[in-house]
Amino acid sequence: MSKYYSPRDYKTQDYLSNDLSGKLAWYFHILLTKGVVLNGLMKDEGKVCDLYSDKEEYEVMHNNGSWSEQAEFPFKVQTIHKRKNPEKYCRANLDSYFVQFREDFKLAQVTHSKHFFETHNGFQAPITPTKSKTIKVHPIAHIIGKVLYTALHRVLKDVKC
Amino acid sequence: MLSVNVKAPNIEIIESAFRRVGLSDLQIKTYTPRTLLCLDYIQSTKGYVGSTFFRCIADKITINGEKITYIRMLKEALLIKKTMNYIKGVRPNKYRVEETCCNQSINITKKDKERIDKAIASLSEPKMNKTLDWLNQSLQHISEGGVYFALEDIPQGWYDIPHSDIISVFLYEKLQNLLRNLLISGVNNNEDRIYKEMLMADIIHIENGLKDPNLRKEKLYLNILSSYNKYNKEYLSFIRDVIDRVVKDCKQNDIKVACEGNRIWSDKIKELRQYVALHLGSHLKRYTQHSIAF
Repeated sequence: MSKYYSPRDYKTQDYLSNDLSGKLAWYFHILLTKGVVLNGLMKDEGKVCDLYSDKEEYEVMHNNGSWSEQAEFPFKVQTIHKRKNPEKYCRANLDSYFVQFREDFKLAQVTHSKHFFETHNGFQAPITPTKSKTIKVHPIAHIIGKVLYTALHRVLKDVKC
Repeated sequence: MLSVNVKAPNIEIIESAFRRVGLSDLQIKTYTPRTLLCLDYIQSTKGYVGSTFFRCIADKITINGEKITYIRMLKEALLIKKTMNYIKGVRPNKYRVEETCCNQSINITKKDKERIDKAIASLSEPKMNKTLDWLNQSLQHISEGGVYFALEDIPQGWYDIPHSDIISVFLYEKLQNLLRNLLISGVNNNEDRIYKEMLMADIIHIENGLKDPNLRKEKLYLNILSSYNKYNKEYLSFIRDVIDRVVKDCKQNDIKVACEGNRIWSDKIKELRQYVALHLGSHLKRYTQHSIAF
């Protein structure tokens, strides 16, 4: 499966394969479980959450350093990068959630942005029963994410971006 | 004798560096192999090693009648350089090997091997954390990124003190220092004057907040706290220090306490406030007679 890349080594190829597959998996998960069509799938708006409806928005994370540091998923503490400061990154009028996929896309940890606090590692949220949910990703969405991730990773491996 | 391959500065460079610092021939013979092993480890990893690591490799060394630590000797020999300071509960110091490294084969004794193995093992030993131990007596906690997080929901009926109260004191102390330095260096131009006025206005505002808990909840007040980006993350270490001390007091008096990322909780609010005020008061007493009011 994928590796952890320190920011310096994090290539565009890795970003594309992690980001696109994660977005697509979550797009279909929400579509198949809630029947909601999310916006933002086909374009990267930058510095705001990835997918959004008129009530909620989701910042989707697949590749994360936590995989190498905290072996077992779900993590005890969910971590987001310092650049994703919830106060600046989230749209003010929406309920914002950070979604952390397990490497194989089968599970995802979903935490509301209000539970994240600044730490020396970026922004982190403790995982408690009322603050965070670990959900099983819809089987179709999970397969889409996994297949796309594997395909993109292979195709983009030798491409200069 | 064991023969091992290391990637470290040339053995002659190390010997001459030690000679320059003032080590005797016998000391050079003793410390060169283990220094090569030590530098090999630092250059092959990210270099995050604490003082225990160096203490395991060598005890204090006598140079010209003066006893110095092994780490100080390496620094004075210009073999390593500290590139990042430690943060309590987050990471140890980070070091870089200063000289160019090359692959070489060296002979080491069994004792040298034991020393480096012990030093490497010391890095993965769990650290004692008395604060976390006591927090866990009430609710399960974890220390991440220098912050304590409760992994269970706070029980009903507990009371809290927000971290913004602690940040107020941190900022008050910092701004008072800034103002004092500004006054010492002299207010020479318009820009300095405007800056001084701004500082004084914020200090008065924060000072009023320290006396009135309701004022501390106002958005304007919280905006002032968040507007000083230059203290980015420094406040986290301040909060952690205060929490460590408060939890120590709570432990001594058998009072349950929990931390939730941006709040400190207890079932006995009177005592919690008393301990927080006590420790924050020690920071405030240089500037004001008041402590923080709850």
